Amino acid sequence: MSDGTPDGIAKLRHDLRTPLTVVIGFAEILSGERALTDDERRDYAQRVLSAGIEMRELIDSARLD
Amino acid sequence: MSRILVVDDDHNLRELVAIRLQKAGHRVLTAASAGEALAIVDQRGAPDLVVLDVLMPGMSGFELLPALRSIDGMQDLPAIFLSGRVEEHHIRTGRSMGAVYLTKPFSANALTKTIEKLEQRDVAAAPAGW
Repeated sequence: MSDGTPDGIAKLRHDLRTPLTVVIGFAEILSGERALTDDERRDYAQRVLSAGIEMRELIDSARLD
Repeated sequence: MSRILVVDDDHNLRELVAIRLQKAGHRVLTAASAGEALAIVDQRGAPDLVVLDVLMPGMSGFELLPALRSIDGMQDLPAIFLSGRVEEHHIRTGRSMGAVYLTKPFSANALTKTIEKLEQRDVAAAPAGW
């Protein structure tokens, strides 16, 4: 959890990078790959959703002020 | 085409990297920790290249790479660090180990191009486990 200190904010910035990579990466695949099966589309969309929820939880738990 | 071991404690990130590399024609195995990675190498033999997260519970990627390179025949193992740590001292540490250091969020194109460059090194014949 970020505690508003420079170290805490640096940690939050680091912690957000992995789920952000997941969101961007799977969204790129979903938008750019035409040959995906329905199961693959559902799986990748679920991964975008779970990474988005993880980011929301990180932000909600951070005390930035 | 290379045999690539991807090590990251985040399951979605591992899957994303594996999908991207498989689509580029590589054979990919994944591990959730350094211990799992060492066990895979023990069972399946040496990969051509490793993609390592830096901060993981237990042994970090910076500790795992020397451990892998201490294994017979893996002294020159090419490595890519894929990390959320963007501080200069982390990048310097990774590069000082002769590895490529990419920061998250990375572009799939940058990752595959980096692997192509590393592949220009001599690639050993595939062990039976791969």
